[in-house]
Amino acid sequence: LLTLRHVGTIAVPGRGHILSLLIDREFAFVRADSADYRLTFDSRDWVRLQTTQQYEPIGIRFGADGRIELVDGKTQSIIVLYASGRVDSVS
Amino acid sequence: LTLPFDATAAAPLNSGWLVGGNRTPQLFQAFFVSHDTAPQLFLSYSSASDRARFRLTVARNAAIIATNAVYPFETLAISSTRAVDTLTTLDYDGNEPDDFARREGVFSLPAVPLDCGYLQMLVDVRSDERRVILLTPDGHVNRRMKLFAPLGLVGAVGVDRLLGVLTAGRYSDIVEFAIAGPCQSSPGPE
Repeated sequence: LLTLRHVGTIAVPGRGHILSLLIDREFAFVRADSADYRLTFDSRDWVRLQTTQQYEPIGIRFGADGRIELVDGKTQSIIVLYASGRVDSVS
Repeated sequence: LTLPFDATAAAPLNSGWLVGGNRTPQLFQAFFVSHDTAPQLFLSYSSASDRARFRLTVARNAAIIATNAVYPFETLAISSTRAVDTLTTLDYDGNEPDDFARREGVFSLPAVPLDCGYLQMLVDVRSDERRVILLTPDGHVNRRMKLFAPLGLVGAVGVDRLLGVLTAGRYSDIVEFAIAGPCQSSPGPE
């Protein structure tokens, strides 16, 4: 038995894909085809993280300190995004 | 990342990452990568498929689950001690009268870890036809369901909710399913 609830709507121009992940009890979607990364937490609202780069994340996790770490398939590197806007790249 | 392949899949493992890719069309490899050490070969797996495409997800017990997107859709459980179990291979021989799994254009989404096992979804990208397969923790098929919807089930939240993506034109809806008794066994398929 399934009960359906609408959480949100996202645009998917072209063949952009959505990467999904599970962190603790929260779930996030990352758009891989946009300079914007839209992250959803629970179902209440969008939390948006602005970036100036386009990444193709193939793996992602959230740190306890609020930072987001992703493995970028495009640059083949580990990218660390901080809430302050600082970006570290580990090639 | 200095790896002998293009990284196509990654999942967090301990303080680092398990990063995987194809060494050859059949051979999937994964390296443990961290900020502190050089990449270490963690896994080599030769697929029955000649164009393997594995994706990595984190299971409830912190193991890594590798799912081959293409036939025969192997699902592997990889422990932090590098032990690898082939959980299942969804070849459906003798079970699917319409041979759905062997159709061109049918792919598997990454297995979704549940408290009672795993959910694996086969998607026909040329139609709305789907198969939802509920696997026990050791990889046996517990239930399978056929449905027709432009839907992909991509993750679980807590113990009783699934998240999916419904595609409609240029937009996709994120939907949440509340599940009643997701882990109860069923006497028969579909």
